[in-house]
Amino acid sequence: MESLLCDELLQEIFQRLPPSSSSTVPLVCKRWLIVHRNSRSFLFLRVPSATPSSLRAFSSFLSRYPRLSSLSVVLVSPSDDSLDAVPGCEDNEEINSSLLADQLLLAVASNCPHLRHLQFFAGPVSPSTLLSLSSSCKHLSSLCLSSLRLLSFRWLTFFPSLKDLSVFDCSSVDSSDEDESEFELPLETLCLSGIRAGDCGLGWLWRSCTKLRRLQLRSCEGTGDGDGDPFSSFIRCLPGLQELELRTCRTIADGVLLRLAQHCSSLHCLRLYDGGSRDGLHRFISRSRSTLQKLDLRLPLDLEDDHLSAVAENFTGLISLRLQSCCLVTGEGLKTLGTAINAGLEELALVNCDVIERKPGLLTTLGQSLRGLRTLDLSFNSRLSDKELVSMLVSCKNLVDAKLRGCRGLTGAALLSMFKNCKLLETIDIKQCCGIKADSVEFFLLNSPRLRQFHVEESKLSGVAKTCISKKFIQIVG
Amino acid sequence: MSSTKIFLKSSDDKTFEIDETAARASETLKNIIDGGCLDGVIPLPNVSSNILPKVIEYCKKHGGDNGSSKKIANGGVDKDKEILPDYDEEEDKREKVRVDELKKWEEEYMDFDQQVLYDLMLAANYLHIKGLLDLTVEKAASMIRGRTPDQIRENFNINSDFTPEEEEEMILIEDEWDDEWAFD
Repeated sequence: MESLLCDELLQEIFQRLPPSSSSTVPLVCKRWLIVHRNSRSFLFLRVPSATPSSLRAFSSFLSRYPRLSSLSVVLVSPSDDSLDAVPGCEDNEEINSSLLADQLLLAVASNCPHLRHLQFFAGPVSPSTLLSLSSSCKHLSSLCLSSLRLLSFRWLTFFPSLKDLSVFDCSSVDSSDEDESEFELPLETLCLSGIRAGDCGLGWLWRSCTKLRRLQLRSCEGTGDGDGDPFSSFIRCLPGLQELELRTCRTIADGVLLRLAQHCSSLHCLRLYDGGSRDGLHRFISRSRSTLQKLDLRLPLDLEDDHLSAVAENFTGLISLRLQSCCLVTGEGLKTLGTAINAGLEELALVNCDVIERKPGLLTTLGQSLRGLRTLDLSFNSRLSDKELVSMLVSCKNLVDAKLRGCRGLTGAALLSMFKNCKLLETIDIKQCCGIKADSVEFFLLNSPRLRQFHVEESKLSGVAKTCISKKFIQIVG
Repeated sequence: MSSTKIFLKSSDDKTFEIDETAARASETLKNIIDGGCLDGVIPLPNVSSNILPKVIEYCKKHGGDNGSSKKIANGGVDKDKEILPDYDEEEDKREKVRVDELKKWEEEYMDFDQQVLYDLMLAANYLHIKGLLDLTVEKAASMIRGRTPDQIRENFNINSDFTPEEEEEMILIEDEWDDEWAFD
C-alpha cells in the first residue's frame, strides 16, 4: 500500500525524521534504502586515519549518497590501539598517511558531482588533486581546506562558481610567485590563517581577488606579498571590501589598516581582535573614507578617549559598537560618541570594560543618548552594580537583546527593572550572575511577554518557571 | 457574505460544490480560478469521490490561508503586533483559544486509516495544499520516529525484500558508519 506514495512524498516524510532514524529507515526495504540515500543532501564524516581499507570504505560510502550537496570530512587521529601496529609496517603506514588527504579528496571528487559546500579537514592537499576536484564538482561554491601542500592558488581559476574559500593553515611550502599576472576570480569571501612573515606565494591571489567582499586574516605575520613592498599586491583586493576581520595579527595590523584607509571606501564592518597600535588605529579612524556601520575591537591595548572622539567625528553612521577588554577609556570618549551618534546606534557592547565600574553615571548618560539601542552587551563586568544598570535601563525602551553574563554584582533588582522598562525584550543572558536568585528568575519569566530565549543555569529554574517556559515556548540555553 | 460556488469533479465522475474562498486554500485551484480557466466544472482526475469531501472539509476550515495551526502558533499573525510597542494581553488570549480550537479540530480530522492517509497526502500534493500536506506528512513521519525496522514495516504494511544475508550486512554497515564515522 505504501507503494502508492511517490518517491517525492517519501522523501518529504524522511526529511522530517531525526538523525537517529537514519539507522532504521534504510533497513525497511530496498526502495526505502534508495530513497533515503537519495534524500540525503549533507553528511559530516569522521574518517579514521590511514589504512587502505578505510579509503575503499570511504569511497564506497560516498557513492551511496548521489545527491550530496554539502560534505564535511574530518580526519581523526589514530586511536590508541593502532599504536600497537605490527613493527615493520609503520613505515608503510607513514607514507600512506602523507598521501591520504589527496586520496580522500580524489574519492570525494569522483563520487559527489553535485557538491556545493565542502569542508575538508584531512591534511594538506596538492594542486593537482584540487584540479581533479574542479573538473568533477563544477558547482562548488564554498570550500574550506585545512592546508595546502604548496602555497599557490592558481588552481582557483578552475573553480568558476567558488565564492567562499578558507584555508586554515597557510604555513606550507612556499612557492615563489614572481610574474605579475592576474585573473578575475569570483571569490567574495576569503579566510586565511597562519601566513608567515617571509611568505611570498600570495601575490597572485591578492591581485586576482577583485570581487572580494569579506576578508578574514587570523594569526598572520605577513600578507605573503614577498620581500619588496609587503602590501603591493595586497592592496588590489581592498577596493570593494565590505568586511574585514583581523585576529591576532599584531605585526601587520597597522599596515593593513593604513592601506584600508587609503584604498577602500566601501567598508561596512571592521573587527580587530588583538592588534593595532595607538597611532595605527588613530590614523585609520581619522582617514578612512568608508561609512562604517559596525566596529568591533577586542583587546586594543592602546585605545584611548581621542580614538572614540575620532570615531564620533568620522563614523557618524555607526550602528554597532563593540568594545572588549578596553582599559584606557575614561568614559569621556564614550560620552562624546553617544552624543554624536545618539539615535543611530542599535548595538552597544562594553564587555569587560572596567570604565563602566569606575565612572558612576556613565551608563545613565549613554542610555539617555542612545535611544535606539536594541542590543546591549555588558558581560563580564563583575563589579557592575544594580544602581548603575537600572539608571540606564530606564531609557532603554527598545531593548530586544540583553547580555549580562558574569555580572556578579547584579541582583534581582536589575531583572525587575528590565521587566518594567524593556517590554520588547526577547533574549537575555544572565549566566554566571550569582547575585540573581531563582525567585527573581521565576518572576521575570512569568512577566516578560515577548521573551523567546533565556540563558540561565538550570538550577535557577523553579517548577513554576519550568511550566511557564514550556507554555510560552521559551528556549532555555543552560 | 455570499461567495461564488465552484464545482469539482472527482475521478469517478461525481461532482462536489465548494466556495471559491475555500477553494483558494489550494494553490492549484487558485491558479485555475485566477487564470480565468473556470469553465463550469473543474475535473480532478487524480482525486476520487472517497477522498474529495475530506479535502473540501479541510479547505472550508482553512479558507484562504495555507497554514496549519502550527504556523499560526509560531507567530503567523504576529506581524501586526510588531508595530505596536504595547503588548495586548486580551488579543493574545483570544489567539490562544483560536489555536487550541484549531488543534482540536485537526486532531479529530486526522483520525482515519492508512489508505485515507496516502490518498489525502497525494491529493494535497496534487492540489498544492501546503497545510494539509504538512499535516499528513507529519502523521506518516510519526509512524516512523523511534520505531524499529520491523515496527515500521508493520505500520506501513511493507514486506522486507532483503535476503537475510543482505539484511545482516546492511545492519553492520549502517552501524559502523553511524557509530564510528558519520555524525550529524
